[in-house]
Amino acid sequence: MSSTAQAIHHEDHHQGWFERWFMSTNHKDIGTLYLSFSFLMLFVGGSLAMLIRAELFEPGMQLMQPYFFNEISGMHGLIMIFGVIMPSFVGLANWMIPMQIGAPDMALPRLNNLSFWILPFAFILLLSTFFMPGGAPAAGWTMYPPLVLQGGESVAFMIFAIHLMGISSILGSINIIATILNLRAPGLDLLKMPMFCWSWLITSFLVIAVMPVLAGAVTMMLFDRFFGTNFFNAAAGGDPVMYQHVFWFFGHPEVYIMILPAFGIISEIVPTFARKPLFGYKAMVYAIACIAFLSFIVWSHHMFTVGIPLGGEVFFMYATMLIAVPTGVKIFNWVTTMWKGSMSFEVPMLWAIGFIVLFSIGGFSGVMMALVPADFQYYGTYFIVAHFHYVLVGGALFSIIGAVYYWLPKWSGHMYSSFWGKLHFWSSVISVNVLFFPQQFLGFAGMPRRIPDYNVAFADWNMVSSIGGFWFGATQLIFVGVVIHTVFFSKDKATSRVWEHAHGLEWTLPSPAPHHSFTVPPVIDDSQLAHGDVSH
Amino acid sequence: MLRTDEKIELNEKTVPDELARRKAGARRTAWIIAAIAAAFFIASLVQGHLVGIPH
Repeated sequence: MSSTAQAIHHEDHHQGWFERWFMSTNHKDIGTLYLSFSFLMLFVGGSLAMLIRAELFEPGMQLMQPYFFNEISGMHGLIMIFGVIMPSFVGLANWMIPMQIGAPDMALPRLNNLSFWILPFAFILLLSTFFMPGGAPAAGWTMYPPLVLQGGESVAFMIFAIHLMGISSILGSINIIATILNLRAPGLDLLKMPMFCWSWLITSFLVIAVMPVLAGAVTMMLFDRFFGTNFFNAAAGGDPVMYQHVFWFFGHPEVYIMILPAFGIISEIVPTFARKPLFGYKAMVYAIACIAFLSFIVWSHHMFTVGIPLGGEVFFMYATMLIAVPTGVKIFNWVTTMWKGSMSFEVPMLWAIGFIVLFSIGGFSGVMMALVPADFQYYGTYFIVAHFHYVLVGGALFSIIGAVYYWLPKWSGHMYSSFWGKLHFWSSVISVNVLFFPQQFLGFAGMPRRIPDYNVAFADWNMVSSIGGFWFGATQLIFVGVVIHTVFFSKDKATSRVWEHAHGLEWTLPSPAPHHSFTVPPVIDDSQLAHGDVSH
Repeated sequence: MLRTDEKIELNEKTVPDELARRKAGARRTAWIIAAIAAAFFIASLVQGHLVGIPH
């Protein structure tokens, strides 16, 4: 028997609780760990958001000192990006990719364990900065020098935490690329893969290309702060704007790292509930690849006001507007998939439609900001805050919640209450608009972001936004209840296919899925693939 | 042309060796990708040290 077969045999033995959850090399267990971790961090980062909205509920200083407000603004961003959106997508990838490509597990299971277990330690380091002398770094999630270099010793801990998060993401991406390129079932060509796998394959290459660049930027910052170098110190011939260039060379592809897997999820959900094959499968793949490529040549649109040459501004403006084309292809194809379909509105489909509408709102405001003269007005205002929250909450987070509602019966073997799922959706979709739509008005009116106090002229819409924030935050407790009830208490058994028109290899496995997905590679039948025969 | 049950039987016989071969391929892929990631990290430091970006 080969070593691999012995390993598979060995893992079928009963594992103790500690061994299963702390030493696991199983893709499903590690996927569960990622999802549980990001769920926990959602409430940590969400609590900071509640504090921000409580402080901004009315003009004047209510609850905290301005410096602490700055600390929680930056930490909210770092936690939500690196602790919630990215790990939850990696969790979904861990659960679904081996099942969708007919593999027994991820290609490098021990590396998989390592990439997860780096994360909790990174966040312990990051959150510990709140309790250090001088407090947590208070220069926002972008950590621009020279401001961030004026912080206390906690800057070093933040930088080390970011290094660890980057290592975790890179190792996770290496595993995903190695799994997809090497462990697909015989006959499952790349252009027959589910869109979720495609979106993650392309996202992984983005992670590989840009996370090391972030690591480089913060390493230079570390040396400036503690070892006497002057990369970003203008007084000694350094260049603080260079930090912005290096940071946003990471930062803009990072935006797509947080949204491309969402595109994959929506491309799985919509055909299932429209009861039609995905419209334009190949166009969807090429559109994701095109968006990924363009993401590398638009970074300076985050810094139009810094004073880059006019030719540069024009280039970055047009390159940014170009992204609307492949993104428009995707929106068009989802809508066309629904067109004349036998639509039904189960809970995952509601979240997918919510995603398409809210992401489009965020996308349109992004196109507005791409225009250089207009961006001079929008820059640094609440209009920007509204824009990226529409994309990241209405877009990324909605897709993650939709994915959990779509695949939870497959994971747990139980159905959830449709009533509570729909209540969760409607309450979320209304409250998220109450929360973020008024922020667009505030931005237009000139309210700056990252301030703990504001002119009384902005009072009304801030109060509305805060009410929306508390409402949206409280609504997520429904999600906790639904997930806990489904996993531990539901008696409603799920079938293997779960959804009537669901296609793809994962639905050929029983619910709950067995410990190892496909110990024997499945025989590929094109009619059972997620998107059918797409060779024509 | 093999029947489906014959295909599955054939699969079961060849799975362990085939899986080991594919996992070896995965390890090679992983090292190549890791080298690319390291190159991006070094390139960002070199860019910071030598080039800078005029503005």
